[in-house]
Amino acid sequence: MSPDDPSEREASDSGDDAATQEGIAGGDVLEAGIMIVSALLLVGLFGYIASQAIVAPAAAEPTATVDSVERVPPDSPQAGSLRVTVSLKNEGETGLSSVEVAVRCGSVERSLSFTHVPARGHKTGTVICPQGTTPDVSVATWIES
Amino acid sequence: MKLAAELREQGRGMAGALLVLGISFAYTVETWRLAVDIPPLHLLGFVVAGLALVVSITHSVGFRSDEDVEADGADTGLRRHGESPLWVEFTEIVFQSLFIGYATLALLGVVDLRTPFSVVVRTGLIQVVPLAVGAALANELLSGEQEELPEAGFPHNLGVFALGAIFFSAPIAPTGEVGLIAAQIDWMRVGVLLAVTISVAFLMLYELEFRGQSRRLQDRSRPRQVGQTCIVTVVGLVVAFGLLVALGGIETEPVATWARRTVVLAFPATVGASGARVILG
Repeated sequence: MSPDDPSEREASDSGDDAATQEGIAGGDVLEAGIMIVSALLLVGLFGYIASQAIVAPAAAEPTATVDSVERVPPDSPQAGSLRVTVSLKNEGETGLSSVEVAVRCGSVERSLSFTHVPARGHKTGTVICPQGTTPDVSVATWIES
Repeated sequence: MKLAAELREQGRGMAGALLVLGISFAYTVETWRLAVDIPPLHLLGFVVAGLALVVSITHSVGFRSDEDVEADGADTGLRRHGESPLWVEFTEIVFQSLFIGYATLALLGVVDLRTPFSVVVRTGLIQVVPLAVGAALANELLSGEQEELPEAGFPHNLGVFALGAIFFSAPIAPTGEVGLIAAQIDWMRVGVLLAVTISVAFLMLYELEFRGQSRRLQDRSRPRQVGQTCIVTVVGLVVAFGLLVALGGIETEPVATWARRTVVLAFPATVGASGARVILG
């Protein structure tokens, strides 16, 4: 049968139309699915934000703790010293534009500066302490955003 | 002019102000500091020169019709849209710019009720020039009276949204402003920012009569418009999060910081995604 045969062309056209219709219907279903997933994601995000807003204390002070103390590897220039990881937590509902944390390693004092600490956020920093010392950390100053 | 049409026109100017120039200014910490540091004479010169540019744009970007010029060649001083004199249009643009400027700065925690009055005024004056230029251009270049472009269908429209979101938010993602803004606003304001982001996207796509609105409304019920708005917003959020992971170094931060920074960056990203629909189709 030649392509010019009207009956074949008609059949072919109707086949194309059906395929297009199915394509559009399939696309619509997929688009509707993505709309629903998007809406659910937004509702979930609003829920998360609301839960954070409810549980966040209004005026808590930032706190600093020693997260971990590790010996510096022997192949490092500071071999034998201690690598102290300090964790700063801001449990308050106000962000902090800067925080100074004092780290005492025996008679040696180090200082850590943190900037832009979000409300209900935390950041970590690291200092090197001399061997054989016990690190002690405290928040020295902070500026609210 | 009916109230709804008037509100629509004001809203279009405000959204256009953000879209064309304003959002990058609002997200630049130097512009906030400039408001405090700049000498008064310098500030005055900046505002006068900037607003003169706005008058020039308002006057010249092809909006005077032949009917506005009388037979003897005298200019009637009336604009084609709404038949308003130039000074009325200029005043409206300045109002739109100040309104959206202060609303954005308040939303981002830059100004609040505790901010000294002089700083509030100075910050508004710094922001008003770029916003007004944006509003003046948007009214002419992006209004519904422009030639309509063919609209990209699903799923190609996702690419258009993503392109606009990347274009607007990629220059902001690696800057310190995202972290700074995320740190200075509380969770309540993060939620409000997300709600405003969704609202601005909806208004830009379906209410403010930006270019192509009639095509976007065609055969789309209200729930479908809302669904499309959700898609645009989620594309903005996904692009913002992706850019922050790629450029913003948030992988070591806690989940709460991810959420805050993503919402902060999603605002320009979503405005960009909606703008891409208006500009690219």
